[in-house]
Amino acid sequence: MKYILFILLFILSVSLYSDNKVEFRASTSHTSVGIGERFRVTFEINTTPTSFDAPDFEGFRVLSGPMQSSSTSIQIINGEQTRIQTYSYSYFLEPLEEGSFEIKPAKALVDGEYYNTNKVPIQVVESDEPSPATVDTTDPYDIKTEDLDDLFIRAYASKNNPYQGEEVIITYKIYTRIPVTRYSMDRLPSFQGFWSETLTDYDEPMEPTTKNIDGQRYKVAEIIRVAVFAQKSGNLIIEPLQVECLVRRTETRRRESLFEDFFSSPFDRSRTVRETIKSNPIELDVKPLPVKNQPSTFTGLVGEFQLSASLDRDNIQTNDAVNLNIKISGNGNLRMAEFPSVDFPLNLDSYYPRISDNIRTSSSGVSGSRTFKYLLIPRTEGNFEIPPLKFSYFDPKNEEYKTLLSEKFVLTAEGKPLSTASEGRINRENARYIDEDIRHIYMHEINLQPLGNMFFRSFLFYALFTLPIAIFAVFMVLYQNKVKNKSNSAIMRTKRANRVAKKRMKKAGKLLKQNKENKFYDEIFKTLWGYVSDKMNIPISELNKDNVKEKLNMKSVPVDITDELINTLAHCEYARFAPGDKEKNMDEVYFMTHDTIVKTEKWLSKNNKNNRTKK
Amino acid sequence: MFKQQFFYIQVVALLLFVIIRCDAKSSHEIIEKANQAYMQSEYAYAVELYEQVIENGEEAAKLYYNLGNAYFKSDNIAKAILNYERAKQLKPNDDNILHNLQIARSRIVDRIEPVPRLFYERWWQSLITKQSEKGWAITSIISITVLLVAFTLFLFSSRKGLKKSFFIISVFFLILTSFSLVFTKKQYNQLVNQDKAIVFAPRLTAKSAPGSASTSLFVIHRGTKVEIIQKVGYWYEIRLPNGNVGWVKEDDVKII
Repeated sequence: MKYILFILLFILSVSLYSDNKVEFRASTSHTSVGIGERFRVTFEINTTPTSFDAPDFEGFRVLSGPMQSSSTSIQIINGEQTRIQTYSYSYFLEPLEEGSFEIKPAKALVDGEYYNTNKVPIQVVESDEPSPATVDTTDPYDIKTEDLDDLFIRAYASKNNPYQGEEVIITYKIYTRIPVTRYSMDRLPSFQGFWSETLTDYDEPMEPTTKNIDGQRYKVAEIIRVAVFAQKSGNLIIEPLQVECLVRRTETRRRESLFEDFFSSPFDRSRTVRETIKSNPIELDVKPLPVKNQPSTFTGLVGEFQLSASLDRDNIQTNDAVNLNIKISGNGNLRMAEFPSVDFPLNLDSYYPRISDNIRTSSSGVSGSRTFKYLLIPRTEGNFEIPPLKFSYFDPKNEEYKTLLSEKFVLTAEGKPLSTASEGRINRENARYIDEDIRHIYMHEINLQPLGNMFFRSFLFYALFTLPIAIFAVFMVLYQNKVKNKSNSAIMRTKRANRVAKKRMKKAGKLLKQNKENKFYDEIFKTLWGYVSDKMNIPISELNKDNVKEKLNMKSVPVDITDELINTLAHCEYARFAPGDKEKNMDEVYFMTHDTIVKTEKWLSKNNKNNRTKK
Repeated sequence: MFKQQFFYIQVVALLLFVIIRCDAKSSHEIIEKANQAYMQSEYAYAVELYEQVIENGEEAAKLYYNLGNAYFKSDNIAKAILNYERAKQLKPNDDNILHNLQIARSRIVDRIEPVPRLFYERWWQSLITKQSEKGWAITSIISITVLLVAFTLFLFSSRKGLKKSFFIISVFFLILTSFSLVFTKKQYNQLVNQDKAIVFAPRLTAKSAPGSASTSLFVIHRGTKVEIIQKVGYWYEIRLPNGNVGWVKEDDVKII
């Protein structure tokens, strides 16, 4: 049975067949320990105890504890729901002396009844086992050189020259030619500079295979598989993995002791020995991601991904909520995925997305999906266009950046906001001022003008300014004249009167010479009446011999002139029919008329002058 | 013979027309190009193109405004302020110009509290700057036209009420005409005898007398607007809005 590997794994089994039965059991992490080596004792109860009494750990020193923890699980069997609450109390102990010991039962009070745990036997073996730090220097067993061939761990990296953020699978394999009863990994390497994810379960036993190395048959088993993602570029070293094994060795001890020799029978020559073995360190040369063509939406995802987005509904009521699900799935450092920034339209409220992961680890790496759930609430009615979502990652296989685009969504909200209508208050928001900047340039055609061009004092200004004045002046002058002519049409007539009188007098003069008596007197009458009518501005129809004095008085014509005028008229009438020298009479009348007109004219001109000075 | 002459005249006229058109078009084309450069964030190129148009001897409030924007975007605040101020002189009431000028001013170092002036002085000043020189000149022309029309109507209306209202209108427009003429003159003087300047030196120490050896009085920084009182040699006597007076070198400021 020498080269057969035994891997004993301690699996805690909690029987769950009956829900009412109180299970209270004790377990230890080791069944046999060396002196000075610490181990753990756990008491588990499948219900909530009212009190718990730990046993006294005789022969052991309590290093720490009790550490309490509880877990709840819900199980449905045949439609029956069972809620199981498990409480556990853990202690770390250290054996004080060699021999067979047992962990005494612990007591717990549940529903007024006391329950005891089972006793757990534990074997304490003699051990000069030094602390792990001094393993290399003070190892009492001579297993160094030749025995390394018996038992060693190899670490393999799936890739030695990855990109930053690219997945590298590190596989640790144990090679052995001697039986290993148990091994435990004290701790995983710290993976400094990496983000790591354990791919295999500790509890799952690995089927060993056989391999021939240099003619020697080795049992090979994979211990653990870890996916690591470099967080930075450069030369990174993964520390060795340290594994503690319990192996059975048949070698004789170098340190001869009579006492021990005496007791160790040939059958006892094979002993269980604790050994610490280390794997080889791994050196990775991590390449930085190319800067060229790096999209702005790139957040550090390296691998192979798909993007899918969906909207719960695309037709909802205003103020109702709708979910926008964005799912990024694929292989790679999914946990690095940040939510894609989405430019949601105004009045479409969005909340910080809920992130849910469905990340599986399998022996081939990390895969799965990460979902971002955006809660959207349209605050007004109408169509809201959600632009296509952008998401970028680096594809290390093709060594290029890839950008995925989702489809464009249109969300239609209908109806007036309900809450605001019913509550009678309106949710109004002030405009948000984010930053200030200058306003944009003027983009239309600009009316250019010569530099320093000034309107004031230019010819155009003077022209435009004086134009209304000129028009006004001309207008006023023209108007004044018209007013004069119109309002003093009498003046016109008086002016004409003189002319007419002169014409008529000329005619009369001619008639006088021709000695045409009747016509002469007619003309004289016409001259006089016409003259008076024109000059005094009295229509001829209103004038006759009877009222002429009255009318002229009204026009404030002096009496002497009126008298002379009437005299002349009378004389004319008289002379026409008077006997005697007709020629002489006509002469007299002609001169009398002339004198009268001249006199009147004189008075009028004097009168006008007086009037003007008065004004 | 006559026909041929006429033909030549026509050709020359056409050529002149084309040349003038070409000239006008090229300026507009440059502006168009500059606007595009601005849009593509090539501000330095936009500045160059706008300046080229001004070098050609043409100006407009909006051109200065665009140039100011381009300078602002290329972080040359002093030049941006200078151009905004120039734009403001041509168009004192443009909202965009005032807004950008205010933002540009908020980026400069100096915060100078202006000397508080009496309310009527402020009113007077704000009245003057309500319109540009051109605006006031046009106002005066319109106002005198209305005045004369109203006065004519006053003269010829026979009804008492109408006569009275036309008289009042005439008096009002008489006052408006005289004021707008005064304002036009003021704005004209402002443009002709430029007495405002922008500090271009990053740090400028004003002296008590023209000469580097004289006592330093105060320090002002790039972008501040000052008033120029007089010029002696290569030195300007300047006054700050808060009333401080000092002498600075001609090269350190630029007249608006």
